[in-house]
Amino acid sequence: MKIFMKLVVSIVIISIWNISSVLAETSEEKGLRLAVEADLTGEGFKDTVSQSKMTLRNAQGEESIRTFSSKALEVENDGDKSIFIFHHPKDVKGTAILTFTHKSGPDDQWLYLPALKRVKRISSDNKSGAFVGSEFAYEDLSSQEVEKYTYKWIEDVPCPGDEQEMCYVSESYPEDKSSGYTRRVSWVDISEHRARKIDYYDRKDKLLKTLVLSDYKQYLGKFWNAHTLKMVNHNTSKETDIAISETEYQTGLKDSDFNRQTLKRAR
Amino acid sequence: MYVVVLSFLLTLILPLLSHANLEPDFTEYKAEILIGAWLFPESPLYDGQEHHNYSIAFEPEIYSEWIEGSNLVLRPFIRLDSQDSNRSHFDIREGIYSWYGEDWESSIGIGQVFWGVTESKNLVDIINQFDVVDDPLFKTKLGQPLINLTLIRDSGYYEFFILPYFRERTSPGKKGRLRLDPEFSKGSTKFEGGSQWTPEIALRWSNSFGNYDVSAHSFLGYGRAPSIDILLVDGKLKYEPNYQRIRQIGGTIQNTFGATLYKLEWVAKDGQKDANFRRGGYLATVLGVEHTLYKTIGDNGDIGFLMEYNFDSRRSRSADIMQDDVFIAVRLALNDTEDTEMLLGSILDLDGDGQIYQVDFGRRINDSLTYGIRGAIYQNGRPGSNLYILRQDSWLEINFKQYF
Repeated sequence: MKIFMKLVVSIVIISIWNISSVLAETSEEKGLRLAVEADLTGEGFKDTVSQSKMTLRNAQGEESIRTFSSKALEVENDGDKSIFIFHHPKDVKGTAILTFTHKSGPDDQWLYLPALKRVKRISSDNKSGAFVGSEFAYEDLSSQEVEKYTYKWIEDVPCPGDEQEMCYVSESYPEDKSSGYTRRVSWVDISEHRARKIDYYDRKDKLLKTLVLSDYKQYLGKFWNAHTLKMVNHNTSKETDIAISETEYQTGLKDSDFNRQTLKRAR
Repeated sequence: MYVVVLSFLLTLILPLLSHANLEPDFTEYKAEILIGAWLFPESPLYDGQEHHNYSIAFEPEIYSEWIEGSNLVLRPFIRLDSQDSNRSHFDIREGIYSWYGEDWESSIGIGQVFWGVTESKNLVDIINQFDVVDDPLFKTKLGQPLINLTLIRDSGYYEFFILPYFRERTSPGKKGRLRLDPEFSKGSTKFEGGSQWTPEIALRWSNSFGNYDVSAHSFLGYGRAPSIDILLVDGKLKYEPNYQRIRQIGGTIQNTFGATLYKLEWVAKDGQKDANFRRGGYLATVLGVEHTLYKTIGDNGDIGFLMEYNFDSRRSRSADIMQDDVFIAVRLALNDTEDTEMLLGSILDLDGDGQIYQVDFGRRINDSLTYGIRGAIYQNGRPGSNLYILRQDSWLEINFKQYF
């Protein structure tokens, strides 16, 4: 009986301690928890292949088009591997970028220049640089690893542009000094962890860009993918849209499809 | 002669193709037409040379792929020049069949191979001959007949090459600028210790270790740079290019540290004759650093600073212009819709043998048209030096490239 009482007391104590710890979850802890949960929804995708069309629009409304295809491979216990291959404009056709993302430390990146047949190791330090002259920076398009940011949950509000859904608003702060941002504010729906909108604040903490993600489609009954991305730069009034075609999941790509030799063959 | 080589290689490729499904699963065609004008502001040194020349070049490409793991690339090139008959030339830049598996790739045909890491010069690139007449900045190479096997292992990439046929370096003709005096004697080239058909072999290993990309290679075959004999042909002095069998080992290291790249290329050779016709061993290196400041010009423009030291242990006995020279350059990449890029460089000889200034500018006009401005100024070459030969030949090129 004594033993039984002891057990009950300890269970009660443990549960109270647990409840209190949930109650006492700080905004930072909640932000991190949500980021980890969101990351888990993408886990197990194995590999993807997709085609994208990018429309660059300047303040006068003049447009220019870029097209590229991309392949990505999930790597256990580290960041993803990816290959970007450019198709248009014609003078950069065949140019390709191989990236090994790492959870910690700088990413490895190689650029293939088809005219010279040259594979060039490049600095991955230009995270904040414009991707092919667009309003997207390299860091906006690269594999998003939880470890590369710290987080803070702000509030729950109806999702922007979709009042039926509830979104959590959370801020993320890049760990990397070479990032172009002090923080990102994202609106992510609570039901499926789909990012609906992201505000990017520059190094002076001024609102720089806004990204709106839409046309979500679900693949393999699990993975949600936005097919329309619209980035607006508030400084320059320039815009970039990305339209992503149907994405193929689990096509059977292997580690051996992501090296400097396959980069030279990428089309 | 070269036609013989091509047909020989083609007969080797055809049986390989015939056993597989002849119909490729994927084929694409593209082409480039280049129209260019060269301006030489200074008076020519020799009869028949002009202040300008115009040329048109055409480079189509057919690419076919078979899903089981093979592809075929055919990329011929032709240039017609208004002035220099040697600059009007035809070459198969690529004509190569490759097949590949998870951890290997093998090719046969005419290929292009790039091994270098530095910007001012690529010492280690020994597979292909330079097409000097096409590009005096040594960026364009002739297609090289080759058989290759590449193995991809955890310990690195292992590349094996057999090169069955040697390509002579192109050189400007009698009416062309940027030439030696007197002109080259065509058809009297000597291949010491063999013929153009004497096979060459090359091995290379490369790998990445974190921030370090490392490679090492060895090569047995003809040196790509000719030594030059003077001879009397029909009462006229002519230069005769001679090629010697050489042994070469070399390597590259690049450390990518943040926005700074540290680079080294080195080769040690023996067998090659120097300017005094002496055969001997020598060491050549390019040691460089490149640092980029991102987003410093306009909204997104990058500015990069490059400094490379070129050394050749033969010093003044080297046929290379850069043998004790510092290359300093600025690279601008505006990252705009037009992809505007410019490299401004200077080569300063530490032995006091003059300077070279270079510009290479490129910009897109629309989705299928680009233009470029390139040029070089050769200054203060000491009489008798390699730079002195080019003393009146500073040039500026304007070109337009249409893509199909």
